[in-house]
Amino acid sequence: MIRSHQRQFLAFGLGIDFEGQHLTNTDLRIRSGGQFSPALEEYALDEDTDTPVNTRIVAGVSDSSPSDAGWYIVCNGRVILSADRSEATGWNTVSEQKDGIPKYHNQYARFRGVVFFSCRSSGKLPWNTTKTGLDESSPVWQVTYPKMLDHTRTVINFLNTLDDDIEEYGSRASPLLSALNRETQTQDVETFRGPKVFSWNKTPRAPGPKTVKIQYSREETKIQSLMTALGVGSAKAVGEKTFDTIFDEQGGDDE
Amino acid sequence: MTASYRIIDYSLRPAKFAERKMLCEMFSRLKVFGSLESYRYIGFGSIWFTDCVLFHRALGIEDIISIEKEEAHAERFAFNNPYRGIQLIMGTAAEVLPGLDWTHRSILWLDYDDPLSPSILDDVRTIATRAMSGTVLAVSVQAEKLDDKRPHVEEQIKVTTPEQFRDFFGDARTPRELEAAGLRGWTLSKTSRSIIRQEVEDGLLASNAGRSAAQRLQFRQIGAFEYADGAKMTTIVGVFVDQGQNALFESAGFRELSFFRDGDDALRIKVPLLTPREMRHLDRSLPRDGDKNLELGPIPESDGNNYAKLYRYLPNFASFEP
Repeated sequence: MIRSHQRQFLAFGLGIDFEGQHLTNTDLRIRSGGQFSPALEEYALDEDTDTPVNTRIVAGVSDSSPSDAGWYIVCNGRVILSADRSEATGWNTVSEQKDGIPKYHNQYARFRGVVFFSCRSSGKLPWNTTKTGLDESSPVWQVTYPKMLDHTRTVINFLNTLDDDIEEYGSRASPLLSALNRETQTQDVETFRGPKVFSWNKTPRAPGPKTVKIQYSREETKIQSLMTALGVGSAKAVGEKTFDTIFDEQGGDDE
Repeated sequence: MTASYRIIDYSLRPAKFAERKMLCEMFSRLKVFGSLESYRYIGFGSIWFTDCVLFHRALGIEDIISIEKEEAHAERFAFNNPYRGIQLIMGTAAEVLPGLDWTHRSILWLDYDDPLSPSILDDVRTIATRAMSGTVLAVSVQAEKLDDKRPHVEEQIKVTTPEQFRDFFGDARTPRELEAAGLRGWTLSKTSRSIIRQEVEDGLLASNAGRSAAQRLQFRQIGAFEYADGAKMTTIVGVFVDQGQNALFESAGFRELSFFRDGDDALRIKVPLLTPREMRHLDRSLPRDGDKNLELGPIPESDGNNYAKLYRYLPNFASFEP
């Protein structure tokens, strides 16, 4: 609890001992490296006053962990929302906007997003009077919320692609998952500085022509008879073999 | 779908060419907000980089970002990048825009080939919630027809009724008074622009919540174009201006431009069909002397008038026969 609430100070080296146990920095880490990078956005509000509100948003992916996934909101070093996956941080908004953020699903268990707010005048921060929860009516929050939606959308688009890749190739052979594991290391979120565009390895497999997957259904008995006729052992092979045969018959590539 | 750069040479579409030149003239007036050299241009340069090259050469902008989503041909885009100053970023606009440095004044031209869609509106909102005063945003979309191409829709549906529109865009983005007539012909172009403008307004409502009265931004529309080089296209252009810079905006002289449009109506770019000899003939009475009639000769009046409106922005084509 203390560790979670004092996350940012611990990251900068503050030592806290609690009941004889030394609290280390949290495990809030995001994967980065190679062609993969989290999104980073930094801006200040009320810049022309003595008490600007500095905001830093970091959004990306980490290891799959349903209990850690979601948004973290940190005000002046204190975590006021942890692993949030509710409407408060934009999840489950599809009903309002067709292209909104879907309801949280374990497919998004790699999602991590953190917003750091800091301001000398703590009253400007989007926390409630007891500084333990979010004040959604705060102007600072209203400016930040739509930006968080953009980052959530980007990261979950990537996670959907990753999910498709894993479904197609299996988790051991998925080229995208192996690229993610091979190219990146987890890095403490407090250490990222922006701005940065969310990026990922778009061509994790050996470069070759773009492929499109075809899926269709035919009567089982007909497929079996073609398996025999073509001397192949699976429905998939029947599809590929018949495609290749017609392709050759039609004179191959046009380009 | 074939990537559009493989079927269209962007530099050869005359109405688009004229639109690009007019945008350039508009952008040149942004200098009241800060030197043009300090602006950053963000666009979709495609394989031709026509917009990037024009704004670099005509306006002196050096910091240029071209967003390109056709990852499979990344090498070819990089090969065609004409200047060191153009940073090519591979990815969709939705991926790239939120992570850019928004502390710069920018000229943004989101020049889509596709018709309006929820994801285009998301990009527009991304910008509206981040732009600073003096930033200009132009958005171009196809306005021939709307298609519902969501992944779960097996065969794309042509959106022709308000109900289909609501189903595709959601309640919040469906104008209350939308009628089927607003989704066909040239009125779709007007509808598209007004929905884009509303999306910007909605985005500003959120970002203005955190600003003092003097810093609150407004989106001041300065242009609206429509044309059909092939499919119908439309563009809306506006400047983000904070209350404190209203006077600067007024002093820029956007209103003096013949193609200034701040309402629902657009400038329809109709490229006249004239021979080079006819164009040279008309040139002799241009620019127009007040309301004086053009020396048309045998040239049809409508073509002559269109030429007089657009001649400064039209491409000079020459055919070459050995």
